[in-house]
Amino acid sequence: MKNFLWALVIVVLLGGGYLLWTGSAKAPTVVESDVNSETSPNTDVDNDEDTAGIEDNFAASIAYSSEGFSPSTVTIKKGQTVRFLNTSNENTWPASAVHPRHQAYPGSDIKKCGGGEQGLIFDACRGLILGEMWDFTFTQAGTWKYHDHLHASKTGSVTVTE
Amino acid sequence: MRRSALLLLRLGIAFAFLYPPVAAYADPFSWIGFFPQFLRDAVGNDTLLLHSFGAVEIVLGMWVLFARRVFIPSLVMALMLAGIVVFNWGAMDIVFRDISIAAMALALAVISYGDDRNAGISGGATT
Repeated sequence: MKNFLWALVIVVLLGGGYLLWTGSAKAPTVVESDVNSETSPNTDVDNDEDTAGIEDNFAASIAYSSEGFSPSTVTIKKGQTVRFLNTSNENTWPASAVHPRHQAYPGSDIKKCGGGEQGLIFDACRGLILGEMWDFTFTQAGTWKYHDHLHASKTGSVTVTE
Repeated sequence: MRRSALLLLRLGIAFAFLYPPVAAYADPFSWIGFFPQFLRDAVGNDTLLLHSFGAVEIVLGMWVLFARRVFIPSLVMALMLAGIVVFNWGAMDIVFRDISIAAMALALAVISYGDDRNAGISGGATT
């Protein structure tokens, strides 16, 4: 039994080390843009068939596929908009960390979905279908992690500078 | 003292398996995201997958809570938790706790295995 436990510890350490190494080996893609999109409203959800209300000016676009978000990491300026686009057959629900409450971005909370403040929170509040996009304008500087509420291991971050 | 420690171990592990199916019933979207996509595709029905898995969790939770021999359920629990961690490595901020619970389940399995050997029972254990 003692040998078994030692073998288990070694396997776990090696496995964890390998996963950490492969995770860190993938350098995140950073997209920077000076496109000014200081417009309101804060958020919009729409699809290709009806693009009314979608921002034309967005600082960065993040595509969701079965591999996850790409680029997973973007850098924008305060007041700029990030567009999330679903290119996968699987629905995606981009939202602020931390799963499942989505409260990391100031003011965000999944409990506000469906309420009067839904447009102000970093939360799509529903699954986006293939081709559907959702825009969010960041008004708070910082690094804000996000994830797919429907696939919790798919994550990324948006860095907002002053 | 040993009995109390084992009871706490059983209670803790059982709670970790009994709470999710109940919570998933009220808020399925918050839980379905932890299943790997290949499994969701294989089953083809997220609700069925979620609640079927929940039923297994309840069985395991009750088993480890009330049965005398708990080697098998605690080992299965440890493996299930390890699977959750592996398939949700990107969500380590959340699943790091599962590593601790998996270690608890493994500890219970080891204790059960030892007791089983001492009692001369095969295929299970009495704690």
